[in-house]
Amino acid sequence: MKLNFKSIASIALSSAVVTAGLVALPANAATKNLNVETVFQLTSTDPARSFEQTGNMINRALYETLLTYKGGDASTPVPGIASKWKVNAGATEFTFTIDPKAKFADGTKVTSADVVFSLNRLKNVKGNPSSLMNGITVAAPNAKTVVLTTEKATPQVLAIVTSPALGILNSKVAKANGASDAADAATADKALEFLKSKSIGSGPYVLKSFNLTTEVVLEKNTKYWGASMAGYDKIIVRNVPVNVQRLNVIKGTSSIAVDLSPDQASGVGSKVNVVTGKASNVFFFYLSQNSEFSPATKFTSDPKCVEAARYGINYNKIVRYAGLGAIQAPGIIPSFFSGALKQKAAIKQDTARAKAAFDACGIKDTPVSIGYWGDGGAVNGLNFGSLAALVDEDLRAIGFKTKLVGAPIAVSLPLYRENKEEMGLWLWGPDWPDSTNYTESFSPGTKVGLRMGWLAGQDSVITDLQTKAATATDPKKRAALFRSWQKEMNKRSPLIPLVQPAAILVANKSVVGVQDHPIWKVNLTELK
Amino acid sequence: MSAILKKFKRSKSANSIWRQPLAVVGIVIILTWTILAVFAPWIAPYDPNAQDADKFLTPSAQHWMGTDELNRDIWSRIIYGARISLPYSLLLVFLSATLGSIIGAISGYAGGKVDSFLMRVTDVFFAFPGIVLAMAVAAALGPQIRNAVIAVTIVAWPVYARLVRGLILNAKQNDYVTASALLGSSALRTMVVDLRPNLSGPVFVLASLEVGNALLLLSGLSFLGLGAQPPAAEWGSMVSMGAVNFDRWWVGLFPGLAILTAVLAFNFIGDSLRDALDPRTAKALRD
Repeated sequence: MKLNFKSIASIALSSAVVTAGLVALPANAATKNLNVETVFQLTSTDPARSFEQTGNMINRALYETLLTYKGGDASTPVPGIASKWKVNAGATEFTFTIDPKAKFADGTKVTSADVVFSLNRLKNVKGNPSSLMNGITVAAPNAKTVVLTTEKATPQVLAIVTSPALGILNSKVAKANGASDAADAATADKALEFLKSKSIGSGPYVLKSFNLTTEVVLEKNTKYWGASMAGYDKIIVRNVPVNVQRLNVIKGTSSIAVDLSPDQASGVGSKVNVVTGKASNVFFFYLSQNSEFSPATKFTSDPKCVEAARYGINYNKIVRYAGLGAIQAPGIIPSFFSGALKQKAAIKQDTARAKAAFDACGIKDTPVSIGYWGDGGAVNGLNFGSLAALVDEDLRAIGFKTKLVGAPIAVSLPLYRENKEEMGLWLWGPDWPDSTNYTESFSPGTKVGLRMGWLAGQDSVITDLQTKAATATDPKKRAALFRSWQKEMNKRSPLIPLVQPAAILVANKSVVGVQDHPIWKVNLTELK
Repeated sequence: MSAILKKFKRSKSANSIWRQPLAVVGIVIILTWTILAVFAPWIAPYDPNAQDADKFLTPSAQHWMGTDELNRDIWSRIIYGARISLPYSLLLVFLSATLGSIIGAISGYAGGKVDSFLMRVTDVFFAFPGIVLAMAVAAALGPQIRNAVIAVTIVAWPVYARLVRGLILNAKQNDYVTASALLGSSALRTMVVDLRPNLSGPVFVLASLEVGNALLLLSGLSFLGLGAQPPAAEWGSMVSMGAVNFDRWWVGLFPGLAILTAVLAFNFIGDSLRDALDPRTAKALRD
């Protein structure tokens, strides 16, 4: 081919146009992604079965609830699917009016039938969060109204309905894919796998893909009905060990690191913000002791054994390990909530008392196992193995023949939940943001109580305080009851609160709206 | 084993190994670690699990290698760590060599369908990357050092099975094996009495070379939280703690160096033993 100026110019011009087009193409097609890194505490994205922190964070973006909270607040409910609500004087009837604009991601309108189905399904499927519906019945007088009723005064219902477990599903799609709200839903409901592949909620995001061990991808709900559309085209929530989270924050490749401790969050560079929560974290680590595991260890049946452990632990050492902003958990109710105990009420280590109690308890040479989340399990940068090692050292010093038994969470968590651990090192995050969450979960015969073999009727004083606190409506009286309940718990419950870590999030400066929340940790829908 | 050692001591190989500087370095390092492990309670300046110091103290005169996030003296933990890492590595090499040798011997001697079946099973194990298979087994059995040893044994035996099968196939062509069979020896007697002496040397050489790998694999499982559990002082789990706190360089560096020196030393010794006991392979590798 003969090249002249004209042909060279035309080739150059064409090349320039093609190059410009190629350069421009990614810019036009570029999607705005958010990478959230956390150590997965996740079982599924089925609201009726998911009750862990990562599940709450994801489901908060996929499914909407009747009411919710804004930012880091967990005290003043704001409209969700319900635009209005009222409570009767006795706090036994809660009436919600569904926002007429509310619609699911597929465009169909949200009706009261969807709410009734979703809440009844939660109750009857008997998943881990089903207890949230204990004592609550739900009815729909008309298509726009839902009424929740309780037999006794239950002011915390307004807090309970904000839990992502009470997310509203599109009932028609759910039923078509095996979901059931019938009394036998525990066996009849077959929608779990479907709900891991697709979301059927009304939130600003929809589920793109779900992998229990690697990542969950959310996409923008382009038909979102609310005032504020999703800030990102795609959110990728990744299961990432704490050390890698830190490395990625420093490199600037992650948007948000959820699990760093204050120590790890220091010195991560100028590209990120360290967002501190309103108080120390609402979750707390504790040591539980199970009387039903082995009669030989006598936990709970012999208060001296529990006392030995309670006064043998060096709480200051644990707080130092947890780093800046952490506090000793003085009681079971974290400092964030009404009725929390002051620091001066916290148990102090008393080795002489602990040794005397240990001698009196008479389990001298009986081996005692402590279960915990092994294989590097960590929350907020606090490694369960390290915490277990701290407790182990103290208990050994007063004579316990302890043995640490770590296991992956898929193994260790069911063991603990099914009452098969002798002692356990675990943490608790609130299911709903109210102190009743603690009285209703840790008293004898309740969810965690039973995990420790602490049966209903085994402590009438604590149960009486629990009952009174649940129905009290006067804020001051409630707070006093919660304090009394905790003081009694501190005397003889088989559960020893250890530490409340600091509440922090580490986020790239480009991410706007990051706030720590006690229930869902990060509200993905508020991020821009 | 004692027969090999006696034979080894009588041979020129024993003298030749001392002439190899790397072998001497390896032996000195392993001897040092062995002395530290055996006399740990007297040598370590602190209890390895004592949490009395402050956390993340930099190396100093009081704490030669600093302290970790649980206020524990890292040097003391490294010394006690040798009590776990070294014996368990040797144990799992012994177990995998024994298991692999038995399977390889049966496969090679029996031949036919038994051989095909056992070698296909071996192929299945070879098909998986070692660390992935070990992780899967350790995770399934539950994270603790005993299960990590089982997991690594399951990963490591096929290499011995292959070696022994090949040796048996060669050796059983010999007249003395046929003669032994004609005299009425059972298969077990033929394998143990007639064939075993031909296998011991190469298996011993391979095992000595594998100790370093075993130590690495075992430490790797502990690093991933699937091996030794807290509060045990184990080198791999100590490196894991260093990885979480990677800007406190001393937390991970010193246990990492401990692993490095031990693995290198075992490899030096293994190489030298191969030169001494299996000169044909050594020559082939050199050429």
